Amino acid sequence: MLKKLLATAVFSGAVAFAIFWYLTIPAQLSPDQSAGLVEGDPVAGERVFWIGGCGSCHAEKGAKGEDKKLLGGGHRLDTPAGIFVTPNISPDPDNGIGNWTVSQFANAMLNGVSPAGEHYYPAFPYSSYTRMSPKDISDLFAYLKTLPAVVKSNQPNELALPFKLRRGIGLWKSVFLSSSPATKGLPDNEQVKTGQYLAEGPGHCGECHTPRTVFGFGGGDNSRWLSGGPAPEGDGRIPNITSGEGGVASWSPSDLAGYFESGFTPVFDSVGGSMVSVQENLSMLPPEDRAAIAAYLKAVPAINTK
Amino acid sequence: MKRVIIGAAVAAVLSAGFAFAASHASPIEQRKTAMKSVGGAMGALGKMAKGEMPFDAAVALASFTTMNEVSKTFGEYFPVGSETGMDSEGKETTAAPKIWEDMDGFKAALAKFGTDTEAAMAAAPQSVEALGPLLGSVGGNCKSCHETFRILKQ
Repeated sequence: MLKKLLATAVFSGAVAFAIFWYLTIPAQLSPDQSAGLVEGDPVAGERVFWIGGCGSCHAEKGAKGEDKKLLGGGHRLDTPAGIFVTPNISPDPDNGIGNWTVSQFANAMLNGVSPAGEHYYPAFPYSSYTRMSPKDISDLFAYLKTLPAVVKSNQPNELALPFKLRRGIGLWKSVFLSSSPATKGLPDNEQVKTGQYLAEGPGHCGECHTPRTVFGFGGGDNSRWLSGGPAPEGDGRIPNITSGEGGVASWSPSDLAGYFESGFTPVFDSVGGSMVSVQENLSMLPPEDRAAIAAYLKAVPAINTK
Repeated sequence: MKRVIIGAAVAAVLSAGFAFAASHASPIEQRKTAMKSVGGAMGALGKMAKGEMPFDAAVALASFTTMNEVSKTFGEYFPVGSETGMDSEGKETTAAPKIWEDMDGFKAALAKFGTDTEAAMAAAPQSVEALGPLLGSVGGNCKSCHETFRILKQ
């Protein structure tokens, strides 16, 4: 009798494990995703680099100007799951992406899967990057290859136990990873559409400005899109940037675009915290991109937080 | 001449208001009042630089002077015990814990603000063209200090 029970338990355990294993298989690039990859244009890729803000996490903490292009990683992100140490994504062949192909890069950006076939933690904002166009991915890859190689080895993350189980990220992805737009029913207008692509895709605004489900460990809650919440990294809170109460209703589109450019609010308060690095990236964009993001922010559903 | 008088009056009102508030309030109120006066000065300079307000050398000088005065006293408004708390409007302080963890770094940032505003006062810009670069160097202090030492808590 006992033997039979034990056998049943072992068998059910094996079945459950097999199902888990099957559900969490890291994705490969789909034919649709690889079809659009082209020989990238590094000049066009610089714009993608600044909207993507790669240097805010992959360069040294507090890096300014040209130093933001030294992508040796090692920046420690202090989160409720533990400390993530960002990897080297400079063109160094041993530690960085020097030996990667554009397909491997696209699989990392769109599916959050490494060349070795492992899941990346969603601290790497692929849940936004998954909305990027294959052209932008290709251009960005070409641009990154032109940056200086930084010879610096990668350091391990320091995570709490349940989060150490990398394979489990497959389940997270099956629930939260989607390339559909975060907002629907926006005005049918080219500027707003451009802003939506920039903000929801490469700009990954929602990663910090949208509260997450499942006690902060889930994906962004699209019903409260851009309404702010606890900072995912470090202390403090991230503001509501919709036009609801507690948000930016009083800001005109040109106030927003001016803030992205100069770092000053309409009342001449300045940008602060982790947004400083983001604003400095945005200041490198063409003015029409800043205007497009501003137009998009004024168009997203207003959420009241006060 | 009229402009100089207006400029001087603006400066006098700004610094008088600041001095009054500074002598009566809690550290959190003092911080807030001081930063508001810096914001007001920055606003005047920014509007002149953007051409939203006619350039006035006296207002420019008064604005840099206001900021410089704040840089000298601002560090005194962060005594131990004032790490948390609300202002009179019920808003939690936005001072980051980093201020107390790295008081030397915080004071150094204020000293740089003092040096840069002093240089702008000495330069006493007489045109919008001369104002631009000074505003850039002074304004950079707002961002670099707020990046590390300010945090949104509510």
